[in-house]
Amino acid sequence: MEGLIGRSSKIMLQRIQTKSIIKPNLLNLRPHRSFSYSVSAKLINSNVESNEQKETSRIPLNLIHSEILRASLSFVPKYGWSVESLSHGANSLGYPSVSHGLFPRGGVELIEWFLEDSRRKMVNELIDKMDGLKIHQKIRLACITRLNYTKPYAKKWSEALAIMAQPNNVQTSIEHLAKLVDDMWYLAGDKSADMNWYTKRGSLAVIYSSTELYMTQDISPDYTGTFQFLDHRLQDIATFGRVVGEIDTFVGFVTKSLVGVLASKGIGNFDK
Amino acid sequence: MLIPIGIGLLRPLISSKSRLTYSGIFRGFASSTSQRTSDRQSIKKDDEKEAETNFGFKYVPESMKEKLVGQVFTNVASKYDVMNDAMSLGIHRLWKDYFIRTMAPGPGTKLLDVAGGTGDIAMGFLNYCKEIHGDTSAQVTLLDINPKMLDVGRERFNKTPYNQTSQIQFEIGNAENLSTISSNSFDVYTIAFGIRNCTHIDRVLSEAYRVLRPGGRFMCLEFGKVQNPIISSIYNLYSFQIIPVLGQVIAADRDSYQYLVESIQRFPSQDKFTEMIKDTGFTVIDKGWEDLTFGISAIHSGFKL
Repeated sequence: MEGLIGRSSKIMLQRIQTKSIIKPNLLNLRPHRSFSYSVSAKLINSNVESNEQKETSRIPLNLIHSEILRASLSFVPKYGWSVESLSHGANSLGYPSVSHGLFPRGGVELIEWFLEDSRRKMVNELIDKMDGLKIHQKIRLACITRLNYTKPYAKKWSEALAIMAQPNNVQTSIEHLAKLVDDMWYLAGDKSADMNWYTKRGSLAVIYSSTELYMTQDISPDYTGTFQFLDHRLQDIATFGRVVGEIDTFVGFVTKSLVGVLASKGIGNFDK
Repeated sequence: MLIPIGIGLLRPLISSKSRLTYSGIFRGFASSTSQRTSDRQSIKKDDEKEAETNFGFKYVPESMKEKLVGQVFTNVASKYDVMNDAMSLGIHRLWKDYFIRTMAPGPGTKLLDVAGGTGDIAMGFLNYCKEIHGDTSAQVTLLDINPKMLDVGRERFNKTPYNQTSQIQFEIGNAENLSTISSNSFDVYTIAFGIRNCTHIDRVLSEAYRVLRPGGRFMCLEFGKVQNPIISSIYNLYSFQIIPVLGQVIAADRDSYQYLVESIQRFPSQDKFTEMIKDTGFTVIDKGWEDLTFGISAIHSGFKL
């Protein structure tokens, strides 16, 4: 467990310092094949091998990919997470609409990029803002920051969730969620080195995903309903944690009393 | 059982009638496979200095291949579509449809369809834009080296609402040297079942790169190598035993279809062709090709970025 924490801290530090795209292999997950990493790495390799003399005059491919995807996001509220958004995004940059073929899996590539980009933005935004807050406040701030990035696409987010729930995409969407909650807990300064590491992330994953689901059908002005929902869920977890602790203590007392009573009757283990 | 056998030669077999002018040296195509070695030796005697290229299983001087292929297509032009359907049992239509859906052009796309011949891809492209986007601003330039094939294409388009509109233009041209096409002028370049017949594939690819806009897509639908050994043996059986006979029966031209099946064998495999595409400067995504029907044909794709 400590090895895991050590590694994730080191990787986070690298990421903050160099601001480069390093994909931490937290939770020993299989390498995640999002377009912006492995595909563009492959593509860059093919370009470098075959076009060494042309390389210097070209924009790097992963930059072009990111540009097209970023431009496509602005069309999502109208066309959804689909090839149409990608076509319009490419068009808006001056590329022909058939450039959407750069993303052979279509809309899901746009979703994956959005998740990756939002997570990175959240980390960069919150790195300096976590001083002086208690842990549950930090978690709350991280969730709110991340939810704010989904706000512009909330109406179409249910479509994204449906696409992510497809069997092809389930694995990558779970990986994205796992990375997200891991980053949130890391920002909150989590130093647990036992089962708590998993339970914390598991519970935060449930809270965050249920809040996002709530957001897809929230009609309150500026999504205040969503943030109230978030607060309630966080309180529930805190309450639950406290209650479990109390039950644990109570059961401990009861057991010790019982052992004591039995001992007074001469039943039980007296080796000590 | 028939269906796997039926997958086969979709492309128009080149109809080379025995009256080809080069038959002074060869003894006609009918005995091509058995005459291979002796023919090759006789060529070498006559044309030692000129580089040779493949014409089916034969080797011919490079300058001759274009002319021979031209004769073949002139002969098959009228029966081209019929033979396609007969040989592939209509599966070529599915391939071309899938090809266009993979392209998924948006409104206003400009397509250069090279070796377009009778216009299957061009027609499908315009129909797609009209039906999916309700768009009538898409344009296609149908280019072919063979005037007869282009004539057949023109006749087909005469019966459609695209007739006499700016959406379709016909041009005669050589894929290896698109002198009439300016650089950076098209969004998509397609060549369906045509690149196999070109003498210098690398020149075709370079020209494709030149005429595409930045971000433009090169797409090639071509026969490929079948990896699965069982399918491969059935396919070869069908190709070499049945197709030429079909050609004889339907088009009265066995030799052209013999050329067809031989030229399929001679074309590089999918991964080698993808290497050629990359070498030209195209950006290739993932594997670079997609097999259709066990690899009997394949869609190759590259981007100019």
